[in-house]
Amino acid sequence: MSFKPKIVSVMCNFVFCQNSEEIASKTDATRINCIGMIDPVSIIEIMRNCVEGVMLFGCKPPDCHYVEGNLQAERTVKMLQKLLSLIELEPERIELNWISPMGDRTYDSYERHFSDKITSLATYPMAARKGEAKFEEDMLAAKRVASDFRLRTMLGIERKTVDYENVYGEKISSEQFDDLLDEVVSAEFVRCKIRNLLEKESLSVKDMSKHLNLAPQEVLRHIVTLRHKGIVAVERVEGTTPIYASLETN
Amino acid sequence: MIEVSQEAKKVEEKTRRFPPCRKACPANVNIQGYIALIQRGKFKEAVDVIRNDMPFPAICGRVCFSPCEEECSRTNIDQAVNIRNLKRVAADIEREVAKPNPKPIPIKHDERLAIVGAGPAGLTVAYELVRLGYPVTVFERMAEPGGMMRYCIPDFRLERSVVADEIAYIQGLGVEIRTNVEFGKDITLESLGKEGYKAVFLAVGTQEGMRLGVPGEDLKGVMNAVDFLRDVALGKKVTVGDAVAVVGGGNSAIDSARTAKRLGAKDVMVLYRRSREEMPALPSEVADAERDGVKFHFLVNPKQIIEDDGKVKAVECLRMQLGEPDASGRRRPIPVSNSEHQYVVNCVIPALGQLANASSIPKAVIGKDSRIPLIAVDNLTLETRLPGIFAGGDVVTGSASIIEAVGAGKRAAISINRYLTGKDLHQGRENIDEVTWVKSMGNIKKKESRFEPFEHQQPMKMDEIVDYLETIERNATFEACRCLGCGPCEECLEGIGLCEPDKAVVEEDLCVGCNICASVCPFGAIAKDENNIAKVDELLCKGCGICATRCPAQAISLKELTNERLITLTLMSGGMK
Ligand SMILES: Cc1cc2nc3c(=O)[nH]c(=O)nc-3n(C[C@H](O)[C@H](O)[C@H](O)COP(=O)(O)OP(=O)(O)OC[C@H]3O[C@@H](n4cnc5c(N)ncnc54)[C@H](O)[C@@H]3O)c2cc1C
Ligand code: SF4
Ligand code: SF4
Repeated sequence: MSFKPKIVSVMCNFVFCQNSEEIASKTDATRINCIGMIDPVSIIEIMRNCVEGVMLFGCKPPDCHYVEGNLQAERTVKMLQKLLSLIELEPERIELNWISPMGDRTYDSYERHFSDKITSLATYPMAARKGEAKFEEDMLAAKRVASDFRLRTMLGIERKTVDYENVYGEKISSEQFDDLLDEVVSAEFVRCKIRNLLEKESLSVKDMSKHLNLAPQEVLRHIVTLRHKGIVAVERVEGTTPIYASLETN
Repeated sequence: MIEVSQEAKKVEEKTRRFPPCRKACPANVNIQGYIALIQRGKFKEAVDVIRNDMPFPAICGRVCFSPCEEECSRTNIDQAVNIRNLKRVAADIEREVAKPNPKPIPIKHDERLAIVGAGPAGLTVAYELVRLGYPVTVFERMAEPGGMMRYCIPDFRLERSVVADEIAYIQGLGVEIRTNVEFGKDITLESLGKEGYKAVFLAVGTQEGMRLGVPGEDLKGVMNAVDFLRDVALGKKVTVGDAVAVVGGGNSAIDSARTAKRLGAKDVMVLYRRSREEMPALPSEVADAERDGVKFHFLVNPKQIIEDDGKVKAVECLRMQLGEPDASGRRRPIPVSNSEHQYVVNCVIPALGQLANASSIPKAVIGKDSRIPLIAVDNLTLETRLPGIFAGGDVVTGSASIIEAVGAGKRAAISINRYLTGKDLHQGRENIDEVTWVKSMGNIKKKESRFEPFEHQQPMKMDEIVDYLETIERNATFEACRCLGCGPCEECLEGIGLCEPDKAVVEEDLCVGCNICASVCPFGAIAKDENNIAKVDELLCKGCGICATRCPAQAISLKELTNERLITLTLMSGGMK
C-alpha cells in the first residue's frame, strides 16, 4: 500500500522461532542466520534506495547462537546511527530490537510501532530527496565510510578491547569506545566526501570548502592527513593556490 | 519418522564429528538436532530424532545421569543447557498430545536373534536390530520387562507407566518379549543354538545386592537395597518400622532411603563411610532426599547389627577418617579405634552396589577376575570369547547407568549386524572426533539456569493440562534457545531447514592477514595460515557471517548469502505487506 512508509525488516533465524512460519507467510522480513552478519555497507545501500527505515531483530543478549553476533550487530547499528545523523537523517530510522523467546510482543506490534515512528519524523519522506545532488553525495560518502578499512578495523577489535583487553593490557570502557568511534566516523565522513569530490575533479581547498560547506581550516586538516596517507597529492599550483588531486583509481 | 537405522549406518561408515554433548553421551544421541527442533516448537519431531538414536526418550528424560550436560559448551558462558529436562518435556508432550504410534517393521532377514535380559541394554539391541529387519526375541526372567528401570528405580522418580509405554513401543515395532523365562534354567546357550538362533546378546545385568559382611546380617529386618526396592516394585507388603538405616552412598542408597520414607518410616538415615564430597550419588538426588527428610551420617561404617529376639535392634558403627586416595581416586576411609556407637533402628538396608549372579552367566564367557563374575568382552565390538555371543550393560561393566547400557546395546547391534552379514567386526569403528570450539565468554554475567525441572504432576483436568503444556512449551523453547548448536551443521539434520547451511569464503587477493576474522569468529573456524591468508574450516564454520561484517578489507563473504544478495532480497521485499 503506497501510503505506508517503505520499511524493511531483517531478522535472525532464531528470533520469533516458535511462530516463524506465521511471520514468513505474513511479512516480507528477510531472514538471515545471525543479525551479526548485517554489514554496515549493505544497510547504507538499502537506505540509499530510499527505504525509509530498517528494522533489525536479534536475540536478546546474552543469548546468541553465534555467542555474540547480537553484540556485533549492536555496534554496527550504533555506528550507522552516527552516520545517519551526519547526513541529517534521524538515527531512529535504524532500529535494532532484541527478542527473547519468552517475550510477549508480537512481530506485528513492532511493525506498527516502527512505521508510526517513521511517518512522524521531520525528514519523512526521505524519498522526496531522491535525485537531490547533496543527498546522493552524502549517501555515497556514507557508504564509503562503511567500507573504510580503518573504521572496520576499529569495529573488528571492539569486542576485544572493550570486553577483554588489547595486547598492551589496556581495556577501555564501552563509553570511551563510543566516543572514539564517533570521532572516527565524523572525520572519516568528511574525508570520504573529499575523496569522492577529488575523484571527479582536482580542486583547491577553497573550492572544496565551498562545496562541502566547511571551514577551509577543517578541509585543510583532512587534506594533510590524506596526503600523508598517500591518498591525495598536489597536482599543480595555480598562482599560490595548490590544486589537489586524488591518487585513488576508480 | 526419520528413516530408521540411517544414523547407525552413518556412524558405521564415515567419520563423525560430534559436538561435546553428543560425544559425552554413551549412546551418542543427537542432542543438537533435537534441541534445534524444540527451539522451533517441534516437539514431536524432536522425539523422533531421539528415538532414532535410542528407544527411551521419556525414561532418560527423567533419570539419566546426563553426562552430556557436564561437557556442554554453554558452560563456558554460564551453565549447561538443561538437556535432560528438554528431552523429558519433548517426550511428555508427545505422550500427552501425539501418542507415540509404532508401526511394525517388515522382516528382511531370516536370521533369528536371541536377547537375554530385558533391561535397557537388551531392549536397545532388540530395538536396533528389529529396525534393521531382523526377527528378535527377548527372554526375561521376571514377569515384566524393563530390568532395573522396572524393578529398582522407584516409581516416584520413574513412573511404571512410562517404562511400560516405552517398552510397548519397542514391542510395537515387532520385538517379541518372552517373560518368566530364566536363562541357565529354562534356556541355555546350547538350547538357543538348537532352536536356530544365529546370535545371542547377554544382558542379564547385576541383580544381587552386595553383602555388608558384618555379624547380624541375616537377621530379620535386614534387607538388601535391590531386594527391598524390587519387593516394593512388585507390590509386596514391605514393613520397615519406624527407624531405618541405609548403608551406602550411591543412588540405590538414596532411592532406598526415599522409598523407606514413603513407606512410613519416621527416621531414615543414610550411613556412609566417606564424606559428602565422595558420594557417588548425584548431588541433586541427595538434595531431594534431604528435602524428603532423610538424614545423612558421614564417616561411619557398620561394625555389627545388634539383635533383639531375632530382630534388628540397632546398628553399631565405627567412625572413620579419610586417608590416602585409593585406586578409584577417592580417599580411603580408615576406622577410628574405640569409636563404636549405636543407632537404634528397626531395619537395615545395605545398598553397597550389585553383583552379577554367577549362575546366570555361562562359565565360558566369565572374565578372569572370578571374584566378581562379569562377562569379558572385546571393548569395541562387545563380542565374548564365543563367536556370535555378545554381551553388554551392567553384566559387563558392573553397575553403571541406563544410558551406558543403551550405548552398549547400540554398539552390540552394529556388531551383530556385521556378524550376520559376514563383515569384519572391528573395521572402521570408533571414529568419532569432537570438533567444536566456543570461546570462553568471561564478560557475560553468569546466569542461573532458567528452566527448572518440575515435579511429577498429579492427574490433571484437561484445561489444566493445556495450560501446563503451554507453559512448559514456552519454557522449553526458551531453554532450547540457549543451545549454541556448537557442533557441525549436519547435526541439525540436513533438510530440516532451520537455518541456512552457509559457509564463509575468503577472497584471497583481498585478505591483508589482519586476523580480525579469527578474533571475532565464535567457533574458531577461520584463521590466517602460514601465508598470512585467512582460511575457513568448513566443518567448523556455521555461516554466521560475523567475520564478513568485520573484515576490514571486505575480503570475506558468505557463499550463499552475499551482501549483494542480501541487499537485493531486502529491497525486493519492498516493505511489509
Ligand atoms: C536403585 C537403583 C537406581 C538406579 N538409578 C539410576 C538412574 O537414576 N539413572 C540411571 O541411568 N541408572 C540408574 N541405575 C542403574 C541402571 O538401572 C542400570 O545400570 C541399568 O538398568 C543396567 O541395564 P542392564 O540392561 O545392563 O541391566 P538390568 O537393567 O539389570 O536388566 C537385566 C535384565 O536381565 C534379567 N535377567 C537377569 N538374569 C536373568 C536370567 N538368568 N534369565 C533371564 N533374564 C535375566 C533381569 O530380570 C533384568 O530384567 C539405578 C540402579 C539401581 C539399582
Ligand atoms: S551448546 Fe548445544 S550443541 Fe553445544 S554442547 Fe551444549 S547442548 Fe550440545
Ligand atoms: S561465518 Fe565466519 S565467523 Fe561465522 S562461523 Fe564461519 S568463519 Fe566463523
